[in-house]
Amino acid sequence: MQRQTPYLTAHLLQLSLDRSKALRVELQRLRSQQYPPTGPLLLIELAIRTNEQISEELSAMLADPVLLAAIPTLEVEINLRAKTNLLAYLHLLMQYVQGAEIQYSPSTLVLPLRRLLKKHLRVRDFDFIVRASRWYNYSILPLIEGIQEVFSKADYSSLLAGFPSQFFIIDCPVSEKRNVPIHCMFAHEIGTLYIKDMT
Amino acid sequence: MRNELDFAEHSHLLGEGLFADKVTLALFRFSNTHKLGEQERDALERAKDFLSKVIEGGNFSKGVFHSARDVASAKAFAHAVDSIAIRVSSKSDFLRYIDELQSTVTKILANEHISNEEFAQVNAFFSTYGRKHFQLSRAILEPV
Repeated sequence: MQRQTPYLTAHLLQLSLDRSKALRVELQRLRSQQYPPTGPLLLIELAIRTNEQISEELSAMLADPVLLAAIPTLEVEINLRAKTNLLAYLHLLMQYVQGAEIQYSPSTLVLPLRRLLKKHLRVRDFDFIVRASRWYNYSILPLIEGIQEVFSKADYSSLLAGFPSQFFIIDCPVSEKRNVPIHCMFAHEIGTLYIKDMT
Repeated sequence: MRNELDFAEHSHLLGEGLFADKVTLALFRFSNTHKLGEQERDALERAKDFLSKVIEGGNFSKGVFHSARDVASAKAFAHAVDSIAIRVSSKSDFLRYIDELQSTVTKILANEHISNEEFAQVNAFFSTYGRKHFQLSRAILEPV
């Protein structure tokens, strides 16, 4: 098995670590925004925990050049590929927080919606994000299956401890967030969730 | 709706890439040490199950999915066809090839002798499978 020079390996690790540091800054910025409770912050905290874990693992590899030089190239490659792809995935996840800020989303609807869902859903362990987006579309998007699949295959399932077993995004067009029919549209969207919960 | 499909598909493609990389890593470690640790054994058991699903998916002709396993099998078959590392002329050839891969993985798990060609075949399949899935997951991300 061909071995990369330790310098090149360390350089690639440093690049990935730099991405992680840049993502940390963005996650801190997102955390400093105001959101209706509690879905947006749960998703941001999950991304922060995961990013910290990745950063720690990359730093540990970089800290010991002798050990790093002894790891076969393929092992480093696979490890780096997993982490780099996960960083991109966390970046993707954060798109669901944008538009959920109090000033942009129909935030006054969130608490009544939460009460309604608590009353009617059999699943107790759920959370959600309501956001206004540029797509002219009302939709409900379950996130948890995708997150669980990726985290379990990356051996990061333990980071999901405390994260709800059901998590979804409710989208509405940004221009419609103050229009009265939004109540009907949201009722329609959560109705699909209710039917899924009952079947 | 576009968002929903993109996210689910992206997660699945990324998950498959991570899975294939674990198998490739397990094969690499096995080729160096001729031993299987717990992690390697787990990865190869999953590889064996995946190949079973591909065979089930290839033989699926009922037209109706009765279980989550049916759906997963059909999906595994479609993904495996996309990742094939050799040329085959028919579905039966393809399924024979997958069957050979499964038999090699079973032999590794049972600590039986395998030839260099058998090892290279399994390794090539999962390397290509992983690479293709990472590429596809990136392709979905790019327009976001």
